[in-house]
Formats: sequence, C-alpha cells, structure tokens
Amino acid sequence: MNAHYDDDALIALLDTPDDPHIAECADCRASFEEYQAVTSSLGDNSVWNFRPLNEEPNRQTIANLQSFASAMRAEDEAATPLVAELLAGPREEWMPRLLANEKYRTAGVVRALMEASDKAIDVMPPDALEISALATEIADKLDPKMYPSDTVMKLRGNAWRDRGYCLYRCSHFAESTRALNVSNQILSEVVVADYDIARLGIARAVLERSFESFRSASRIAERSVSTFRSHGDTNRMVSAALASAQAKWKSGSSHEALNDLLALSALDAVDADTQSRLFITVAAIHRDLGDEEAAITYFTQARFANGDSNCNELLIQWSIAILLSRVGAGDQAEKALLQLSKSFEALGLYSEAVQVGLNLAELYLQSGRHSSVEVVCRRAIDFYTRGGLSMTERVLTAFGYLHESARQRRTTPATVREVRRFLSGEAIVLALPPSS
Amino acid sequence: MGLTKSINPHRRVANERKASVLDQETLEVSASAAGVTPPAAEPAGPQPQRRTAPKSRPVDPKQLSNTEIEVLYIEHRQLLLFVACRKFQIEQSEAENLIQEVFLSFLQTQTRIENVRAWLVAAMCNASRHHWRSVGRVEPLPDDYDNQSDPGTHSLADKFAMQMTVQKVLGYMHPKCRETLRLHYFDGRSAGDVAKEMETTNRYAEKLIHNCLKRAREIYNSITVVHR
Repeated sequence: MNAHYDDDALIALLDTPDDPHIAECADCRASFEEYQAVTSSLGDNSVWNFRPLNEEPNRQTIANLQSFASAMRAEDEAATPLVAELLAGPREEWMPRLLANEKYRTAGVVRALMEASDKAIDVMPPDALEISALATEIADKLDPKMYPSDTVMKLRGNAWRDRGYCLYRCSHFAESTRALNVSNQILSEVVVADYDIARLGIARAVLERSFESFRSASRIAERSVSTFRSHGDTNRMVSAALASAQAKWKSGSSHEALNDLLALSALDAVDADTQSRLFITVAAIHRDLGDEEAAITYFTQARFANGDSNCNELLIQWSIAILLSRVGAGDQAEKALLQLSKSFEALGLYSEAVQVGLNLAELYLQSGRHSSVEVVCRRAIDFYTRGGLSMTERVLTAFGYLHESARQRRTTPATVREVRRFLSGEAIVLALPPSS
Repeated sequence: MGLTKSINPHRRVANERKASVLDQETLEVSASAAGVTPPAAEPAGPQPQRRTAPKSRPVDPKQLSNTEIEVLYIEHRQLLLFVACRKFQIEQSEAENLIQEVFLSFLQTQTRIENVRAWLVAAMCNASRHHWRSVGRVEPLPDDYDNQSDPGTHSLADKFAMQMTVQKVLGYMHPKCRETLRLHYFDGRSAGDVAKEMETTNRYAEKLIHNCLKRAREIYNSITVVHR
C-alpha cells in the first residue's frame, strides 16, 4: 500500500483527476472529492454573495404551519367515520348518499377517499373508480377561500389525476384523457406542484401508450423521472421510468427498454410493490424476446416481491400460463387462462380479459376448436364497441376478420398472433406503475 | 440548521472548542505556511463524524406533530432561504413566504417522503421558478434543476448545501485569502495572473492558492464536524 497523498499533491491533482492511487485509496479519494466539492462551489457566484441572510426562524411561519397541520389533522380524524359511512353497502349507493348530505364535503374526506381509491385500484378497480368519482365531486365544490394557500386547488388537481388513472385502469380511455387534462390545467396554476405534476405524468404516460403515442408517452414519463429524482423519491422515479420503458417496449425497442429496467433493478431502496412491477415487466420483455428461462426467473422474483396486489399476481399467473402453452402444456395453460379471464372480468379489467381470450383462441385453434374462437371474438367485439378507444374502427375490423375466418374454419394460430400483435399497444396488459 | 451548525463568528461554542477556526485569521504565507497550524483542535478520543451529506430520513408528513414540524422548519429554513435568495435572487421577505408555501405543500403530501431535504429543496426551486414566472421575469433561471444524470443520488440538495457551507467558510477567511480563491477559482485566472494582481512571484502565488484552499478545507471540516 502506498503512503497517502498530502494536501499539496491532492490539490495538484485537481486538474488531472485520473490517478490510480486516488482510485484505490478510499481515504485519499474522500479528501480529493472534498477538495473537488469545495473548488466546484467556489466557481458558483452564489457563494460570493456575502449580503447576510436573516438566520432567525420566522415565528409567524412556524405558527401558520402548525395551525394548518392541526386543522388538517382534525379534519382527517373527522373524515374517517364519514368515509366508512359513505362507502358502506354496494357502490351504487355511494354517490346518492353523498349527494343527499352536505356533511361529507370536506377536504379531509377527499383525502381519505383518495387513499381508499389508491388501496382499491389493485384489488377491485370498479370500486376505486366510483370512489374517485366521489372525491372529484366533493373537491370540485370546495370553496378555495375556506382553506389557506393552494390547498383546494392542489387537492382538486390530485383528485382528478386519481380519477383519470382509475378511468384508465377500467379501460374508459376517452374519459381518462379528459380527467387528466382537467388535472393538468388545475395543477399548472398551483405554486408548488412539480411533484404532483410528475405523478400526473405517470398516468398521462400510460394513457398515451394506450393510444400508441409511444414517443410522447416516453417523453412525459422521462420528465416525471427527472422531477422525482430531484425530489429524492426513488420509488416514484422507478415507477415513472417503468412507464417510459413500457412505452419503448411497446414501440418495438425491447432491448433499450430492458437495459433501462435492468439498470433500475440494481437500485437500493425500492419498495416491494415497485420492485414486483419492475420484475414483471422485465420478465415479460424477456418472454417476448424468447428467453423463457430469464422470464421465469424474473416472474419468480416478482412473485416473492409482490405484496397485496391482486392485479400483479394475475399478471404473473398470466405470463406463466403463456409460458405453459409455449412448452406444450396446453391443458394446464387453458385451465389457467380461463380462470384468468374470469378474474380480469370480475375486476372490471375487460381489456386484459380480451387479451387473455386471444391467448385462449390460439390454444383452441391448435386443437381445431373454431367455434370457441368465434365466442372469444364476439366478446372482444362487444368490449371494443363499448370501450371508446380511438382506434375502435380498425380494431373492430381485425376482430370482425378473425370472427369471420373462425366461422369459415380458416383461422390459424398465426392469424390470432397477428391480431394480438396488432392490439399489443392498446390493451393495458402491463404491470402498471401506480400514479398515486 | 441544514448541513452546517449555527456558526456565528462572534459566538463561541465552548464544548466544541472551535474558537481558533472561527476567528478571523491573519494569513502568513511564509516558509512555514505549508505547515499551517491545525485549526480546530479536535478533542482526543473517538474520531468525530463529518456531516458532509447527511442522509435525510423518510418522513410521513401526516404523522408529524407540531413540534416536529417546527424542528423540520428550523432545520431546513436556512438552506431553503439560500436557494431562493442566492440561486434565484429572490428578496428575503418574498423568500420567507415561498418557504411557507413549500412547507404547506409538504404537509399536504399524502405520501411518505423518502428524503425530506431533497424534497424541500426541489420544491423550493419549483416555488422560486413559479414566483419569477408570475412576475413575468424573462431572463434565464438556474438550470441546475434539470441537470442531474445520476439516478441514484439526490445531488441538487447536496450541492446547494455544499455551496451554502462554502459561503460560510469564505466568511471566516482572511480577505486576502478570499480574494486569492476568487481570482483563481471564480474568475478562472491562472497562477501567473494572480501573481501579477498581487504583485508577487508566480511561485508565491501558486503557494498562496494551495494554502488558501487548504485553509478553506480545514475551516469546512471544522464547521461540518459533529461531535458525539
């Protein structure tokens, strides 16, 4: 081991930083980096402004903040029983109950509803959707003058973001676009909202991808990545990066997407849920690239990391079913896919249910069951007719063609695969990053 | 108080024994200058830890008590004020209002904040930009905010905290030493130019630059050290 460099040697090296001893010796590297940090700061004009800044904390600011926090705590506490009461019974009763009584109309109730919708989105999406409708209904009618600063506008913008995301998850794409636009319009007027706008960015990115606007999706998501990074929020940064990578993947840049995600998977301090979504996406890309072994490895890791998310678990089961069909275990794959189709429908995730139907159609055709393929196509046509997608016409044309060819017993697995590829940018079918 | 402790040059903190560092000093760049007297006499025993870039702990703003809110405000106010006033050239009175907006926004965040300092600094940049947009400023604002490429770090807050500390360091240095560092590291003048400016030899100017930088680091270390 060489002796440590003295200060003069370290200072002399500031202009030529590639030194082998600095690279090897942790002590010298630490001292060297400290010199670098000091000299770098000396180059910034802010350090040369010696006009004194008032160091005394402002007592009035402290009092204002404490008063705001106390009021918010009291309101949140009061909201807990109100929300339990509001969300009692079947969801069809919730909105009439809200409209019948003014007592639910507080910012605290909006916050509690957003929390409830966040919890419900991966477990029972239609419930989350209805809860988000309650939140926007209240937030829209709160009087901004009753709360300090931008409280109401910030809350309203976030409630609409939440609403837009829930609409998207339940495949109401056109309505989702409108909701996210409302959110964006409100938040752009708020003084401190970059963080909220970045959260909105994740929802906008996944929605853009559904409309096959891959470049725009990736650009919006990258902006969110940058904001979350500067706010020190690693989990949301990964979520935004996931949205960006999924857009790249769906636009055909699978390897680029995979590299982006693998770089993220090395990060520490990512929570289990985000990690699970990350692994599911990595596994699905490997699966699409034909690397079944890597796909299974990542799906297994995803399952270990997965928490209470029904949707993530279903996505894992789905990918395993696809892998089973690829390795010739047709019966097992069919059983799993039928169950998955029912589960997705029960959760209101019709877009996923249709995609699972196409996987089933491929299996049916391998054993010549054309009439079953017809059923799958009829259900898909029904979904897309109701779904309000921008490209409904061409999607319906594709399914109409598939249905007709099945009726005439001319459909092949290759035809189904072609339709599935045709629809790949449209359905959700991904481990979505949460936008909340 | 952010990265640095409260360091009023006229107020000595007895138990930390830093008087010699915090006093204005007389620069002696003679033959003995290379062996500058060690500044802060650090107490014997276990090595004190340096607070170079403390990791901010995760916080759930909803769970904060009023006392904790006060502590967080006091801990971060100086850095946020530095960001607004020094990086964005906002008047102090207006900056204090923006700090309040930042904290109100922080308290409303219905999610756990992983790194409070990074969050607050980024929000302060956001508020400062919004302030200038609202008054119609057209000159470019600092672009630090978007210039981070390392996904694993939260360097913006660290960088601003470092700059704030170095500003304090300069405040404790001898004017001649400060001027030397300004000429070389801020104005980008060579040692030869510094020599001409100071009417001395190149060799002496080089030595002066080295010694002043060493002194700056010594003071930096002294004011960021945490005795336990």
